Amino acid sequence: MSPGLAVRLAVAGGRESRVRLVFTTIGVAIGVTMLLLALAAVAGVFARAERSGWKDAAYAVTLPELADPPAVSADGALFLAVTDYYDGTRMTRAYVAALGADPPVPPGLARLPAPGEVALSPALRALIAEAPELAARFPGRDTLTLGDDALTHPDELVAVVGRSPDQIQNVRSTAVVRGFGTTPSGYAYFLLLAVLMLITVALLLVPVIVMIVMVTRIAAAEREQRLVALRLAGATRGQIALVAAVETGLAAVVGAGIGACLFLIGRRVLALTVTLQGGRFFLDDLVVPWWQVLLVLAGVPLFVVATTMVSLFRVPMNVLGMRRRPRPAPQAWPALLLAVGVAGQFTSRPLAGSSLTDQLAPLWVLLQIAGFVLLGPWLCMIAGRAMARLSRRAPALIAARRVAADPYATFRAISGVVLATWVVTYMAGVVGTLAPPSESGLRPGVVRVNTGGVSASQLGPLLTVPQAVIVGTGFGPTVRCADLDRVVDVNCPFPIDSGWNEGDGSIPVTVVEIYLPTDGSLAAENRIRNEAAALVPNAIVNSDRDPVDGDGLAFFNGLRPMASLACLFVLVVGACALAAGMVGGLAERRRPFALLRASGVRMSELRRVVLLEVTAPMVITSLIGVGLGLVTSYAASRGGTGEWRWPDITVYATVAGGLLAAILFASLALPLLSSTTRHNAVRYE
Amino acid sequence: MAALLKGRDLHRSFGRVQALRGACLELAAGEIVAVIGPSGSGKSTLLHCLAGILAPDLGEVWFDGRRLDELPDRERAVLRRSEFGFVFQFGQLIPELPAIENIALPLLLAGRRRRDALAEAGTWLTRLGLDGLDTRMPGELAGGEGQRVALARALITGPRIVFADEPTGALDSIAADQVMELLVDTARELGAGVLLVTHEPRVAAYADRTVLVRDGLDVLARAGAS
Repeated sequence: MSPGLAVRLAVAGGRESRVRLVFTTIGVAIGVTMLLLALAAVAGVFARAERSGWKDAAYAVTLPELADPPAVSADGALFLAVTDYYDGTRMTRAYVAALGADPPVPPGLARLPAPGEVALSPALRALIAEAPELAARFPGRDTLTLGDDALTHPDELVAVVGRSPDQIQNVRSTAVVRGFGTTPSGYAYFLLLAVLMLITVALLLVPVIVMIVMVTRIAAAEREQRLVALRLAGATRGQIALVAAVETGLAAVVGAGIGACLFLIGRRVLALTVTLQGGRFFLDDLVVPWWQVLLVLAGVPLFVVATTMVSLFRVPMNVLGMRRRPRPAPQAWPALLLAVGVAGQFTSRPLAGSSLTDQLAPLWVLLQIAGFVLLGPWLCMIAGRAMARLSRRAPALIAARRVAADPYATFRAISGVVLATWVVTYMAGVVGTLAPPSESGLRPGVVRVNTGGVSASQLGPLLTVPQAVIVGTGFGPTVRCADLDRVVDVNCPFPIDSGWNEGDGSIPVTVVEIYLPTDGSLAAENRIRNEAAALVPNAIVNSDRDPVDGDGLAFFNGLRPMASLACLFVLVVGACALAAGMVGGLAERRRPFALLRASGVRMSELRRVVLLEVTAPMVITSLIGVGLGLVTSYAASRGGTGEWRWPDITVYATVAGGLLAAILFASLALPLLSSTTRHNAVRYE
Repeated sequence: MAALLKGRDLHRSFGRVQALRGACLELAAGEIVAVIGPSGSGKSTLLHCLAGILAPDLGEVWFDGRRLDELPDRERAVLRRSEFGFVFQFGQLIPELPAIENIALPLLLAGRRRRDALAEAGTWLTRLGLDGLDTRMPGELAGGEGQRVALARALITGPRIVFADEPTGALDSIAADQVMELLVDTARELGAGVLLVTHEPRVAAYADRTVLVRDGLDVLARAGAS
């Protein structure tokens, strides 16, 4: 049999065949799009990490755990990067001073700004045009524009201020750099992110696989009957396999092509809409390596064909007909697999370090997924039997018996959504633990200038601000409880080292922090920031407008939208699988439902049957999914910096809303019930 | 005898195919009528129109003094579940429900308590010689047993008319005879009319009257053999 004949048979295989082809195409297209977008998002996060690496060049010189940037310059340059804010928006102010004729140049610049010159990012230049008072923080001639290579995202506010070596060489944290690298100081967090993403991508893959399996099962019975007819006409088993492979492979290849096109559109939408750490992505960062694209585009159709082959293998057919091998009733032993996975995760602490057991965390998660997926049918069977015992109404009874009779099919249909609830709870637990507190601890109107320790004489104008509270060494106990109560949102006694009170007067006065009360206006805050930047370039200035930013924890705060996106992804895919499962279930029972309808059973009752079949087991197994999400997030968070907390009510509301949305989405398949149970399904001819 | 069900000048087309072209048929209360004819002659379409499953393109269907074909679909569905019973050739049993629950289904759909519905279904199992098969799934029943379960389901609500569309089409002659004897005897016991569609003269012989349908028209009516 030629492949051409197989193609013709695939295309001319009747209504059910066409429906399956269309659904397979759509399912594969969605799966490929989602997978490529997930891979692009991972690539985008790492590209962003690398883009921010040059700002940490000074750290890289002093911190042994960071990879040294490549030395491209023999002369070197003095470099200092400071994080600052304008109205709560983060910005970077970098000072550079060439130490010779051939200094290293940060990415995005053709040359180093000379003393008195400033290079601005386009977004910062636009902001200065709107708020001219901001220009005082970057004194100098605006002569250069920072290119995209210097920015972590298109809207980033960055200034590179040219200075002479004399001006900054004595400023604390300034370092001599001979090149700019791509390893940010928070790289440990990116490595941790890699582990979390591996876990998440593994969790994301499962619903995609489930959905693809579901769409290939639509109207499988009709297909198998058709293949038996081919056997009767003289086709060999190999030719049957060829027909089946061509049929699904054709749809999968078309779907993969459509998915690739949708990905090209989707990554633009992603770049325009999704933000991480307050900034959108560069389109160029959302690029999937070619080998990953090939792997997805070839792997998904191959997987679809393999799924069809496996399902055919389960249906031995000869020229006289087919006989489906009865599947044994599901058993509870996969619970052991699940328990081992959970227990194993408790032995590894992915946030604590990089030992072998810590790196095994994804493996434990995979074990849990395998255990849960294998246990799911057993859970559905138990749920179905319990429902059947308790149900009083016919629709509930029919649904319960169906669930109990074919728990494999039931769990296949709902597993995507169930796994989604697991992912949502898991991510909420992990991100909630790692994210920093949302409050800065400063009262409104108070600006804190952290100098890192400078002479009081260097801070003249700031120290004269009325009611300023100064924390320093050499002053003795300068912070009185009354003052503290006025400006700082912490309680007495203030944990000042008692050694500070024992100065003999010979210690030079060093100011560590100043708390400056203002009228709360942005203009007043900006004046203090400008003065601080001029007096102490490395000062860290904060107000209650700023997001808390310390030790890379803000990175995890920025993960929230990504986590939400991942959850949305899983829910959409899960809902697609649910809809495909419902369509498949309807196609399989077209005749009994049509005859029931002919006998006077109302459409609303049939709809209730179909909905109950997916809703009841889905809710029950989703509750278990939520429980697993809580346990695994707790286990994954151990060894981290934060304390694991129960996810707040919004997470549970999200899960409930997600389940509802999935059911509503899947309900879009219900009109098919009306069309598939019409009069023509009653007839025999 | 006054007609309980009456179809007059019925026309029904499917695309360009005219399945009925002015067919007429009457069924009195308690009467058993067989509709026979070659494959594609329109006999099933006639049954579907008379049962309110299909609305005819032209013509009238009257049941107990009510114009059935003019009723909205929802009311026709109510009528089908309360006044009619149906036996089809195959595939009418819910594969996941055991025999007793399949029989009890119409009562459960009507809102009867589960315990009562199952108890009544149990009496029908005995009545139709299906004792001991109550927990069997449809896939585990022999063809004749399955059709008897379907028969019990059609009769459990006490319908006034049973519509049987090739009820023995998938059975051997012994099983077919068993099913037909039970159908006819029980219908007579309940006083229900039966409209039987078949292409087998041997099955049609169980009817009081036979109607031959050819090319969408009833062309001959004759008294039954039994």
